[in-house]
Amino acid sequence: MKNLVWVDFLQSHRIEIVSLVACLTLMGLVFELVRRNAIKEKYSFLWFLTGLSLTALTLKRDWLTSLAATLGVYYPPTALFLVLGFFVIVILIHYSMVLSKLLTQNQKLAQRLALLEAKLEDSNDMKQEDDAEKAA
Amino acid sequence: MSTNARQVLPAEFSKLTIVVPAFNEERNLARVVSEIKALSVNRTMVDWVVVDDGSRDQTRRVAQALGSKVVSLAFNMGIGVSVQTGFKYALERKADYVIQVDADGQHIPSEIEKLFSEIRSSNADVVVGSRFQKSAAAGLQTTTVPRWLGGRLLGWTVFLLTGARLSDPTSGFRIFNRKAAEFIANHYPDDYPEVEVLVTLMQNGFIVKETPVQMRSRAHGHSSINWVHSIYYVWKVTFASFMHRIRR
Repeated sequence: MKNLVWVDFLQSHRIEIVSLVACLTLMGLVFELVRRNAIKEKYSFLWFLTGLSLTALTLKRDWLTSLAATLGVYYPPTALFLVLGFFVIVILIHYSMVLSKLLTQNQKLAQRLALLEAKLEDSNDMKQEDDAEKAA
Repeated sequence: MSTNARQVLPAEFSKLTIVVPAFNEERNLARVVSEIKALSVNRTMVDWVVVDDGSRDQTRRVAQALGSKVVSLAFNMGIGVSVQTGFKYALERKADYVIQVDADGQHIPSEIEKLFSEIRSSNADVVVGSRFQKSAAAGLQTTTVPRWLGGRLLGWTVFLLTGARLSDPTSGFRIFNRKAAEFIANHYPDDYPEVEVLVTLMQNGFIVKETPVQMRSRAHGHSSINWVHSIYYVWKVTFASFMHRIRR
């Protein structure tokens, strides 16, 4: 009898269970990557915000229902995907900004290095000319 | 004596290097450097370096005109990278102690003696200058409400993670002995580093103490820390400090 109740529960809450497991897995993965220094803490913030938001909406069905109603979505769990899509877009835009900044910095560094090398070569050439003049 | 010239250090002298991270501080830098130049610490050679963090104003030129050694980062990298660069510079030049003095004028160079005296007379590896230890009211006048609230919360975070009670964990006015400076040169967070680095140091066995100092309000310009930054600051430091603990 107990087993039947459990099976019934699992079947009727499949999407919530899948969503919860997915959110916890995402947050666990990001946590582990930060722990291993593969991701910097500041870049994990949006991922945790995503995971926590989706977890909250999964556990609080009435919030999800209200959100779905506001967005005009008939089937509330679909709103979860909309929220996920929103966060993924925000994260992608954020990374586009980070990449753009890194590209600019990389260019500046490359230029500065090249100019420093040219300066060093000029300095060495001048030193050699001075030494040659002194020898003569 | 305070100098930027190459000098042979007498055997009984120690070398103190002051790292001044600066970002767009052309208006505040002259006062800070003048006060550093006027410093005189017993049996100590005082050296200083201005780390120009990709300033877009005349910070570098002002610093050079004042006789400072300037290390210029190619672009703005943030306080963490600037300070770490300064520490690396100081250690390459055989500093025995390294102290951070901000270029915005809040840190009073003449108060360095209090930090220096504490680190030499105690077993501390790091001494933090606290504006709140003697008088919370006096300290409040030198900061903003979001920063003060964030500082209180971060103080609790430090206590929970390390057991240490620090009244001003966000203070950047701090002195390190060589051992601690070497650790910092290799382990320094790149953003909002002040609290996180203290937790990391204590988790790695370094002794951190506080001593009361006076500070000023910033003379020109404004702090970049607002409410949004403060909230992120607290989250980031708490999370990063917790991560340091579980990585060990």
